[in-house]
Amino acid sequence: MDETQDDRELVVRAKDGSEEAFNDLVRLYHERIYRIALRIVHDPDEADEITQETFARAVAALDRFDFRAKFYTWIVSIARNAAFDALRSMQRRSRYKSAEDGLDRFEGEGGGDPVQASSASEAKQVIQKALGRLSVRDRTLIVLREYESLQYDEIAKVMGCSVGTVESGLHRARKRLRQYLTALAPSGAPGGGS
Amino acid sequence: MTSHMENDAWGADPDDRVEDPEDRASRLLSLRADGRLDDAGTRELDALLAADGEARAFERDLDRLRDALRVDADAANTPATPAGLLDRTLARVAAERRRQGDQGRVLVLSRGLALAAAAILMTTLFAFFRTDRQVGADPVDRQPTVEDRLEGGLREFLEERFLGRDAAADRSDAGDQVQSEGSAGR
Repeated sequence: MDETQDDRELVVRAKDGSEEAFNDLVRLYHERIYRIALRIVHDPDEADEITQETFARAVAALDRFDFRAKFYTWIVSIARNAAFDALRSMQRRSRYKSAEDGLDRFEGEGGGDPVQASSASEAKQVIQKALGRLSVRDRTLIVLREYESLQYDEIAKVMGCSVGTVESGLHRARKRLRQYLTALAPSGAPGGGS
Repeated sequence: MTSHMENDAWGADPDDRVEDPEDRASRLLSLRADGRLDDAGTRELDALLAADGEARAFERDLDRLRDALRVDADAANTPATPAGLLDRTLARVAAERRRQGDQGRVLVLSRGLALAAAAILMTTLFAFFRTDRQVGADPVDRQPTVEDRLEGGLREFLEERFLGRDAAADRSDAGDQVQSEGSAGR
């Protein structure tokens, strides 16, 4: 995602202590952070909490943001850490049996009659189920690359690893996703014939 | 081509270390999908695709997979954010700011207390050493104590017993010698 000059000015003002500037950044990015969190944890309540936690951590750490990365990359790395912490906490509380448990709630949120579900939404469900079977690490890589269109170096910053590891990880994640989709898709093809 | 293996904080995945020819094709396809394949890699991939049916199947599947992900990532399919999320987030941020402010005040207060404690300690130490020096400098006419007398008596006894020296006689001898020297001079 390209960072506009306006974003940068907002960050500068926020670092100088402007609460309104930081609130504008929250308004600008909270929906994207929520979607990333939701795709990682597959639980709307947890994604809501992660979004709040992400910006709370960001306001506490804003002094340490040094513009070496884009603000969005920085905030996504905070969201990723918050999401991983939430997953660990969910596992401890035994609420997180598998990603698909939460996924059922996530899919239920959209309402709609399952009987009337179109092939597109079926394909979407298949994709979501397959994503839910990936490890958290692989799922995060797919979310950042395919959904958020981050570049490899940005993903590396978010994940705290090298570009080479991102490359290997994405390759592995796609291979596994292909296997899961082949097993899940009604037509036996990745993407459910969409 | 940008393919390279590196170990880092994530640790090495077994899949990262062992690469068979089929894996090579899928790795190159993955790189091409992200626009990260150079000319040499492209030529290598073309050769692999021409020779390997499995690689071509992976190519088709990867295209479908990416199409499906694109459809899923499309704005129309993204889940709506819950009502009130922005307000809750802004409230949480405000609470965090208050907490930081409180922490800052506590930090300033504790630093002030630490400085005050250090000042009190320094003043006390200064006063103590000053008083101590004055006591040390004060000339006191020291009288022999019971311990001094006991120690002197013990020393005399030991000299007499083990060195065969008669302390009392030594004392009178010394007096006689002084007297005889005096009479010789006369």
